[in-house]
Amino acid sequence: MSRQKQAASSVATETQLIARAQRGDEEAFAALFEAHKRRVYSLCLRMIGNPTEAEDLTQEAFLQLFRKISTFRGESAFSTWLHRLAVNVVLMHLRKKGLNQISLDETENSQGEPIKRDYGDEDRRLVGSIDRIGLNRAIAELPPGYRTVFILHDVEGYEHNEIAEIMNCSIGNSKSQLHKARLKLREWFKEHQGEQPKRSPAHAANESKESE
Amino acid sequence: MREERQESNRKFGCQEFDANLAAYLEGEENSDLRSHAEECSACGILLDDIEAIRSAARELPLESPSPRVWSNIRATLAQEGYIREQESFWQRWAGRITFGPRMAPVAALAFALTLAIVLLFHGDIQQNVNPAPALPSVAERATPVSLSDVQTNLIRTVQGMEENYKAREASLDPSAKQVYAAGLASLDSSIRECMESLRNQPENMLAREYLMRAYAQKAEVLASALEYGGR
Repeated sequence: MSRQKQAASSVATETQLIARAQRGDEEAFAALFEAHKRRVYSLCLRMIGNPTEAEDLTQEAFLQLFRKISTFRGESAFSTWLHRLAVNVVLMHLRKKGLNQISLDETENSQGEPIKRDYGDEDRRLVGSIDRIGLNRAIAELPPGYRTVFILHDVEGYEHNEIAEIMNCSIGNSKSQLHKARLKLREWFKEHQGEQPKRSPAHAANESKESE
Repeated sequence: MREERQESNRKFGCQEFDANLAAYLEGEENSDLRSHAEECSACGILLDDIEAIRSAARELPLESPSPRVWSNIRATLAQEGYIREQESFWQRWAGRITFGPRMAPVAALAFALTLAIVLLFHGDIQQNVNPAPALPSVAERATPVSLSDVQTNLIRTVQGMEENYKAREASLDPSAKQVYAAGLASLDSSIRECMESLRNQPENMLAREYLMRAYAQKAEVLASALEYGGR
């Protein structure tokens, strides 16, 4: 079967599943959850850094979606709707926790220490030393605002206009925060270059779960 | 040509590189920046590093949540009435096999058995019977899930029925055998999922309830299969 046919068939299947879920079919709910759970959970985990909280938020996002599924008319892709909803659930959670830093307001640009640029001592490239465990750790240590924009743009593939809408900030601000986030990550890798990879508790828990 | 390039680089230094890098990474064409990165080792390394970070971010693998997430979602949706009352296994599969008039007593027997099991189970939850030692077998043999005596007895009864069914399975009509096998496999899968949830959250009463329901349905199927095989 060609890729296009497979994609068309997959969309058709999802449309059927949505129609069945709208009629209260448990198997359809389960199949929709199964199809999207990894992307939603990974997004929550990376933005929160705690597997238990990430599971709670995944649960909340799917519950909100399934409660509203009867209103879904297919104007947008189902996955877009779900992921937007998941991002909002996570942001709401962060705001409730009092993490005001997730605001990207230009005047609230207090995302930690200024980013250093050492022009004289940069003779080693990071290429080859960026492993996923290190990157997960580095992302977890970013200030919340930088982390959110980096995950949405560089990991999840959102465009700046979408991030600006979600985060209620300007497109320019989203771009600027993303650039600073990348520089922060680079700084982290420079500082930890040569170290044995260490696991953060959050990601160690998930990796042991993966290996089961 | 080289002189022109050096002249251009004199105008476009590291500070200009820094000021234009974000826009360049967003896709804005900037030949001065590219030339500077080729000439200036520090800026070239910075550009390569950021591109390596972007590339690694795109390749981060997806993680899976534990089974408790779906168990909780399913339980909440059922409680709130978003999930339509599920047909019993028997209702879903009965239409696929043509039975003779002698099957009516079988259905009655299966119904009576299920009712007895469900009543036993509900009584067990309400009375909060002291937990018995872990059951050492069934779907998750290595899993120490704490069950009450009544629950353990129910599971053992189902195991006994399953052993009888296995002994008679060969005599079944192939199409009926296929239907029963598919149904039992589906129920075993639910049992494994519930066991997994209970292993992670022993106090999860909903997972316990679903586990017992799955066993009740399995008993129902096995009762009908045994009667069908014994005709």
